Amino acid sequence: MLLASVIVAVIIPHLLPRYYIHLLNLFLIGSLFALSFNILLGNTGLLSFGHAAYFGVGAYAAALLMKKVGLHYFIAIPLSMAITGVIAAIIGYFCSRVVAMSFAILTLAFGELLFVIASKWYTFTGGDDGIQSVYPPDIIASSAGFYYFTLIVVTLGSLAIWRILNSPFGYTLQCIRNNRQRSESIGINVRRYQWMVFIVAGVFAALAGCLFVTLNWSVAPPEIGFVKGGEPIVMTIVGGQYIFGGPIIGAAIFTFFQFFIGQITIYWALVIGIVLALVIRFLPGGIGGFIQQRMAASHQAQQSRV
Amino acid sequence: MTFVTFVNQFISGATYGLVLFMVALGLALIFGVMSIVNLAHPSLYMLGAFFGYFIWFSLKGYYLSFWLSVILAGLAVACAGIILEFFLRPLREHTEQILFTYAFIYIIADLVKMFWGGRYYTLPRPPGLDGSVTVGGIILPTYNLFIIGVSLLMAALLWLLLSKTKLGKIIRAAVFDREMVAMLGIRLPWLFALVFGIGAFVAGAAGLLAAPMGSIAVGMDAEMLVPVFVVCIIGGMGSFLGALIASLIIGEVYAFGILVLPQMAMAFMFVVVVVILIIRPQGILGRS
Repeated sequence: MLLASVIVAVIIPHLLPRYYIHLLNLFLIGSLFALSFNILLGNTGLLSFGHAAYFGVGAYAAALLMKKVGLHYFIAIPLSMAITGVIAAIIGYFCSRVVAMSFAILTLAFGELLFVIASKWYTFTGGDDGIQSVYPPDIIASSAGFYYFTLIVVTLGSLAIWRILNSPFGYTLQCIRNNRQRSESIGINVRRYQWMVFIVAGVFAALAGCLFVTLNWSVAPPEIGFVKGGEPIVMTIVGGQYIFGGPIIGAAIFTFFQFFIGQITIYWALVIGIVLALVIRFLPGGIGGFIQQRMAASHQAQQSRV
Repeated sequence: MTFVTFVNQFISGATYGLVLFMVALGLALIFGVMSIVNLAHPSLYMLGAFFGYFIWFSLKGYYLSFWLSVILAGLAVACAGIILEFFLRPLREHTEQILFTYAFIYIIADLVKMFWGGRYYTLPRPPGLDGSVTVGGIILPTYNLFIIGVSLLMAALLWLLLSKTKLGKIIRAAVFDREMVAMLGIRLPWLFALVFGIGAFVAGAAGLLAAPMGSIAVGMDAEMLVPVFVVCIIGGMGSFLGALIASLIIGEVYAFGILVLPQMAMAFMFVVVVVILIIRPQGILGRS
């Protein structure tokens, strides 16, 4: 099963037309972005409306380091993740002082602040035009080459997130999600954990942002804004926030639906809004959660038959 | 800065702040009673502006058409709010509720685009308020003063409703103990629908009242979203007086920030947010 999927993943760029490879790349980047978002939502119980800020800061930092400093792409990526980590640490310091709804709104507000800076500071960020012609190194410049690169980075990134979530740190986060007051009373420094998880999620979002720059060869303010911040939310909720693969399923659905529904109607946001509302109302565990439930149910049925 | 510019800037800041306040008022009411953060509230504000414009357009030329459309737009948006509340009702968890109202940001924005297109609509100031008044040698636009008056009036009416009437007593009781209120024979679902309707009414009316000072277009919801919720957090979620103080602070910071650094006036707002949250994480008048 695993071998088969690896083979499919490897030969797929030679079978599909170029645009579909682009979609595949968007899906891969989207899943890493949504997974990083779900570290906050599904695992710690923190809803962030400004997660695109770190995606965008990562993208901007990588583009600026390559264009203005002239660094090589492979050096720019870790540096940009570090820069985003610092920014996430500063913002997270304030956001970790509040919980629940105030957290949601405060992340939104800080995201908008970064959006304003990106779109108005013409001399540094290029303002509304963003930064164009950020060329990736030759080795990943081809369509298939970039696909392989993205595949490897996203796989490694996802594994790293999986490892973090299944470490003592990750279990502590779940403990905080399930009962904040109790976690505090057994001696967990909840505020500090909230701060740390904010930084971790931001750094992985930055990695997704770095990949996005090389996919589009440019970056513009919408990559930071509120609408972009909605993407991981929709992916995670539709895919399922309580299982690890949920955001990946959501990213697949989001990316390919966006493409196909975008061809039929311009009212793509209406469709997304209705789908989101229906999933929240009828499938609180998302589509991934629903499948898991079904599989567990059929497994149980089989066992009881035996 | 001369005294005249100072006063003018102050008035325009107060006007902007109090428009935010009108939207925040409904949010505070809904949050206070039902603990629901209605992210779609700025969308209801936009809806009010669009409904109001088209009602005003069809009533054009009649006596008091503007005022009638403010009320009708408010009522129409109140209906929209009650529908939203109806959909929200089965959801219990806060994160689910907030995400559900978030989905309605998308839905309302696209419905508005579908029916009225991505065009700009402008509305003249109503007769009698389109001029200016001179106070101590300073010329001030009447409409801005009117907005300041009307938003304070709305807040006062809402406060009177909550503190002096029987309905207000029931609403305040529901804040403290829902089960007990239900036990006493009050139909909670109706009460919640009414509260949501009142909140939506204020937002919808505010949408049209603010329209003559700018334009009506898709995107005015997103423009309101951040400032309104910033007002709610730094004022303290659910507090009317806190929202009033916070909205005046935000309005003035914005109005004077624009003189110093026109491009980054928004950024000053965040400095205020950060400072206030360091001193009081629960907001100026919030309960921790």
